[in-house]
Amino acid sequence: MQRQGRDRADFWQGEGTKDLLTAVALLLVAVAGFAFINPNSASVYPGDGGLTWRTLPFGYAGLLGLLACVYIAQSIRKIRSELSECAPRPASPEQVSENRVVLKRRVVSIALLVGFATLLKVFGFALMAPIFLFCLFRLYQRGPWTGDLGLSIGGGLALWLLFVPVLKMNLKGDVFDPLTPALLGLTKMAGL
Amino acid sequence: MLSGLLQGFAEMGSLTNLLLLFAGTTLGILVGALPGLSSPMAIIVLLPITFTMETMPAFALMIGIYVGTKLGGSFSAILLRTPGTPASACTALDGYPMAMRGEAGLALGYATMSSTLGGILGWIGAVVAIPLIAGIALYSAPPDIALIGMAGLIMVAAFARGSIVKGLSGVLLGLLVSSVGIDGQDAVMRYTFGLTSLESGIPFAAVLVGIFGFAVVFADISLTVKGSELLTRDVTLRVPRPGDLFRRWRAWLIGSIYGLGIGAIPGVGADGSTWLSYATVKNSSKNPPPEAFGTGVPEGIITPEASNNATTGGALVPMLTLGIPGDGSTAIMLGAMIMHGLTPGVSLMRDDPDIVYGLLAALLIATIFMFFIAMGAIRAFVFVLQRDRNVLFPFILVFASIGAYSSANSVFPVYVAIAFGIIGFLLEKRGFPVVTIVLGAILGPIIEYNVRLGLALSGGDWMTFVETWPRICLVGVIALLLTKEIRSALRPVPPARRAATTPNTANQ
Repeated sequence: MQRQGRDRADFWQGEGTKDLLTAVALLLVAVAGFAFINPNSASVYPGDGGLTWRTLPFGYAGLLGLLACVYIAQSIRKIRSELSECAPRPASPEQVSENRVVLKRRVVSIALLVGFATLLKVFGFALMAPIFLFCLFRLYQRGPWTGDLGLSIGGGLALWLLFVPVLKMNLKGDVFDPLTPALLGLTKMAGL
Repeated sequence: MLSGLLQGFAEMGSLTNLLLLFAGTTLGILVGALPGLSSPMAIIVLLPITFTMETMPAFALMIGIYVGTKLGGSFSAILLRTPGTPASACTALDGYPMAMRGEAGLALGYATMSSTLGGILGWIGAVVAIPLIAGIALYSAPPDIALIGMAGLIMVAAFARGSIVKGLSGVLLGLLVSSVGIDGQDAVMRYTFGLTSLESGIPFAAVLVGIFGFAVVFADISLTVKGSELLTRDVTLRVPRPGDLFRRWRAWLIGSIYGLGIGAIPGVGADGSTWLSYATVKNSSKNPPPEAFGTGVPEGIITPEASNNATTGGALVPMLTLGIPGDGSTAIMLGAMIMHGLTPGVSLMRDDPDIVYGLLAALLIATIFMFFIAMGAIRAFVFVLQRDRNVLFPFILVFASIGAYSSANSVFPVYVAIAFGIIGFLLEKRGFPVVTIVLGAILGPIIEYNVRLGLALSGGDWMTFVETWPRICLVGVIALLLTKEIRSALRPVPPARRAATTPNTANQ
């Protein structure tokens, strides 16, 4: 009866299954360690001149593969033990809803980060930083949008002042960056 | 040694360095007080700033942060029962009940005084140990250096949180990461996939930013949904009378000794030392009796806090003498050394003694600053404790991105950092001690270079690794640790213990 208590969703949510997926990913990395080192072959055996360029990476990949196999065995044992236990108590609707919000914020944060990095050299830091900050403040529901806007423009400008005029970093965009030359002109006029 | 130390103090005594130490320590206390933010993350956030600095001022800032976070973590442990750093978790056991009794100020006072005392004792230990160990380490040949590096990695994997399988897997991932790029000896490309950006290897700063910056934010995004309630808003720090502190000499002395000793073991750091010292003091205590611990006794704050700050001195010992970091923060500092053109390891004391003594001087100055900053600005720290993470995280993401970007003045390291952030977050959720990846990436090139050089010098004879007594001892330590850990990993875990050791993903 207890075994029947676990359905397919529980199986995928189980710690053992997540461990198994991680272990398989590690095994794939280990295999990639052998497959993608370099198409040019060379001996892995040390001769009088010491080791070759392939010996140690192959050793690392081999050991990682071995550990991944141990981890797979441990995960399977864990899954079997979980299957013999009672089905976990379902999470409360509040918890489910909170988990969903956290997942959404995590995924969108990563997407925004990739977007920020991609557009940084196109539009420049001066424009991208306030936009990025504003999007994150809205995502995290910091407060009213007017406050978010003020904080992102103020914060973005402060960061630009720190990184560009003070630390002399090259955070300029290309032709789509009208803001950096204008801000640099303003800071020059202000004698900074 | 004394002249070197005086030289270090003279160097750190310049106005710029003192200001940076002060700023770093203040920032460290702030960061430590905020649950979810940590010392490695704060150092990562400041990477773009430290890149533009000279070596000594950059390390003044980093050491300040490192020392400050150790104390800051206890503030939230006492006031929120939510430790700011993992090492402060033990302080909450007695700090929070004291605060509940209306003695929050006194609890913070004990934490500040014992942290300072522990920090000073840890510093004395480091000053004595570093020249001694560095002097011995100078006689080491390539096989010794390779074995020391391997022993360090195995220790980290064995003592870090989680199983040895996960610890060693992290180390091996780090070693594979360090293999990417042109091989230094044969000039052959490894794992570059035809990308020119990878020819000089995976940008190290990007690995650090990803694992200690992005991964932590991704994990703690849950804090932007949940808030935290401060126990009391009106807190005034009360300094305990010296007599009250010295009467409890066992607590701070045992705490400091444990902190210094355990802090010097790579991978264990402050987290392990606070609990071990707390258990020792509790079990051997007559007044108060062991059962009083956990109800708000000063000894329960003094011991972990003295231990916590003494680890700063302990962790610097392997870092400055052997090039093996004791924890995440010292791993980043080692990385920063490489970025500043220094060669960490056994030759650091010989080639750059000014850096070693400068760091030691910075450690003591930051510890003293920490005391005065905490005494003077406790209300400001309590105010910051009430701030929401949804303001801080966006700024941390911008700082961390620019930290990765500035390492090569290109966007490529930012992408690498995002990738490592996702990998680090996922592995941390599965209970992998991700610091092992960073240590593998740092020590990988050192180990490979010395293994290959040692074998080349011996004509390919592997017996060179057991040719002398110190090498036999090192091989013995490695074998012993591996055997012990693998045996315990293969032993079936009782269900009750398994449930207790399953990672709490909500807090990671």
